[in-house]
Amino acid sequence: MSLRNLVHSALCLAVSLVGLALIYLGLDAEFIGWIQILVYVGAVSILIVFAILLTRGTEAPAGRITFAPWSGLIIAGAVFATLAWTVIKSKALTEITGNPSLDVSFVVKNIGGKLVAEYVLPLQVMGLLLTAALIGAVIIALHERKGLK
Amino acid sequence: MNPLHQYLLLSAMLFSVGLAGALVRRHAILVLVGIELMLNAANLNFLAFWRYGGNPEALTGIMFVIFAIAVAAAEAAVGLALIISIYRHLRTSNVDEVNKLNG
Amino acid sequence: MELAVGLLGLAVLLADLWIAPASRRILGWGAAAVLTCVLVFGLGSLAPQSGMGFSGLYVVDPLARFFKAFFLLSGVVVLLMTVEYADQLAVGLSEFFALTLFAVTGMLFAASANDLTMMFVSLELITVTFYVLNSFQRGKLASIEAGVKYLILGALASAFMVFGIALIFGSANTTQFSELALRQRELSGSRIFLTGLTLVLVGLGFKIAAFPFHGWAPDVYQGSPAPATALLAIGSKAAGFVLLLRLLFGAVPEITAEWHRLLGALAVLSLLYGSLCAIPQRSVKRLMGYSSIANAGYLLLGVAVVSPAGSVAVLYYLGAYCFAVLAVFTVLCVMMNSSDTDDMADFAGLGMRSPVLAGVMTLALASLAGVPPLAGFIGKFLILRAVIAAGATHPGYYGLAAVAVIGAVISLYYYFGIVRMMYWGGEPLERLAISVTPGAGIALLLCVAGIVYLGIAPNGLLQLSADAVAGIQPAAASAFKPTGH
Repeated sequence: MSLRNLVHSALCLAVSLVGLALIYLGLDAEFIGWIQILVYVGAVSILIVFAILLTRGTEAPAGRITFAPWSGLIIAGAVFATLAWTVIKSKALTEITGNPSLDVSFVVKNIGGKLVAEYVLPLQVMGLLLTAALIGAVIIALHERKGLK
Repeated sequence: MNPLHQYLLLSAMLFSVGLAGALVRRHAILVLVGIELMLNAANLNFLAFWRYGGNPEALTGIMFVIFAIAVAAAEAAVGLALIISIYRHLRTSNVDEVNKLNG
Repeated sequence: MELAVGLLGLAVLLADLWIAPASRRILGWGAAAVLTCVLVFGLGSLAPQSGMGFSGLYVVDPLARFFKAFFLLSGVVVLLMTVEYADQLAVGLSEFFALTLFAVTGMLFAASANDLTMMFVSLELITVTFYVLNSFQRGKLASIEAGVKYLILGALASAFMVFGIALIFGSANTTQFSELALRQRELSGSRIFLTGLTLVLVGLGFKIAAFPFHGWAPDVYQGSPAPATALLAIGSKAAGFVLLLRLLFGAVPEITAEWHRLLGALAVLSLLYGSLCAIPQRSVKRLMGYSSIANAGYLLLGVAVVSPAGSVAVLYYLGAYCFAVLAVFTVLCVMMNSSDTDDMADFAGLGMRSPVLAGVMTLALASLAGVPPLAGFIGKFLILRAVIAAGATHPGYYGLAAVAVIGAVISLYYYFGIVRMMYWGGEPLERLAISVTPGAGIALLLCVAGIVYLGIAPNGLLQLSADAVAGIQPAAASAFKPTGH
């Protein structure tokens, strides 16, 4: 987050997302791991790179880290301290070291079923949301020339 | 397997880095990047809890992460469209300069 | 029912292909008419039964019905308002209708959410559609700026919320409200759970524009197109509150009882901040933004009381607030058609130019300020009564009541600033009379009827609110019962 060159930032983001995807795979969440690579690395990072290039902002504007940097860092540090403290203090968690009895193929097989049975309503909401986002993105980014009736 | 709290600490760190980025950086795209990192931290938490929790067969964690990823992608798309649009108006994507509405 | 509204939205999108640009307003009329039908028939058919569906993700109870009616009604008025506002939206009128319908769908789902997953996706549906609705006038910088600000803060809030939900899921191993409720006693000792709950509340606090998370409200209210602002002011806030009520009282009532101090403090801060900042405002929309923060304060006060009486007051207050805000924004839409600004100076002499509009505006503002016999007065009165009743156990509540009264007095001052401008603001800038189209006329009529009716005969809505609250918060606060029946 501290790099000046925006494209470098975006590429670092992609690398860390791949790392996360590997962790997901390590957690036996195969489906999510691959989704992560497809959606984040494949789509979101590329989208970000495109946006950066379209706005020609390869260099961060002058005064990158000047706006109240300390307050922001302090807030983030405080949040981290709270979260870490919470995790470390919760003794019960540190003792859990895995629940190896999970059949991986079971997970992948059942995701589809769950998605259209129990979770069908969220799925439909999601569909509407993506439609809305699609329309919205097109309308917002449509070029002015065409926009004028 | 690694103990659960290592995942949680990693996720807390990722969340804070994202938050710091979103608060400190003034470039709209980087703010969005920070927010994406925060969402990813939450997803990591979800998966870790799901895997180590008492009932991984319920798949609740996986389901939520699927929805969260979709939402994050939609948010990123709309957000970047907005940034491009504002760039057309102002030739900048610095958040500080977007303050015509103060009063 | 939600699906009907969602399908309607898609239908509007499709119909757009066949309808000439000039006659797209018909779509708005059609959508409003169908929405009214959904309101009447949908609620009629839902009325008797209540229960859960989709393995507990979705619940239909009096509370859900109350809010569904509420959202549908505001959806109808907002659509009519959009028809009025059509000239201001350069392109994509039918997309605006469709997105409005999507947002209403999200709110309907939110009203029935009984699971953190459901809550998250429906809130996101609302938020993402609002990103677009807010920045819809993309020729105008202010509108895009409103969209960007809402997007950045909204995305931040949803990141907090997802993280919070993850922590709650981790400690409780479930995302369902009713299962959380069953295990709240053991969970209240878990730090992870409490941290998660706090983070989720941060996300919801953003939705209702309560004090520390209010930063977006004035800018976004000012910059967005007026119908979008109206829907944002009512729908987003009410959706936040229905989820707040469900989460705090339906899922974790015991923890809520311990947190009343915090909630009370937030309520007082948002109330004072909103009221004080509203005083010097010149833009009416911006003023409404600050007033919405203040109103979030009142509503939170009703939540902080942690009693059924308080929750009933919250529901009633939302009803009254809804009609008044819709009326104000409809008037604004009509006004902005002729002048395109919402500066207070434009209201000068409105009393002469259009007595009807000025009259409606006065009525709505008076209701917001809490002048008796109007709806807003009853709402404020109910909240105050609940707060004072709680003062018997915790003396601190008397202080809250005092602050609420001070806030009401301040709000009287700034609301009547507009009224003074309309009648005694000197000569109008232009003498042209403003005509009211049938669409706006119907919307205004609905709002005025609502304001006056709720003020004179509050019992009907009061009974409904009481029924709604009884579902999640049985009268005996200690006797705990999960959300189901």
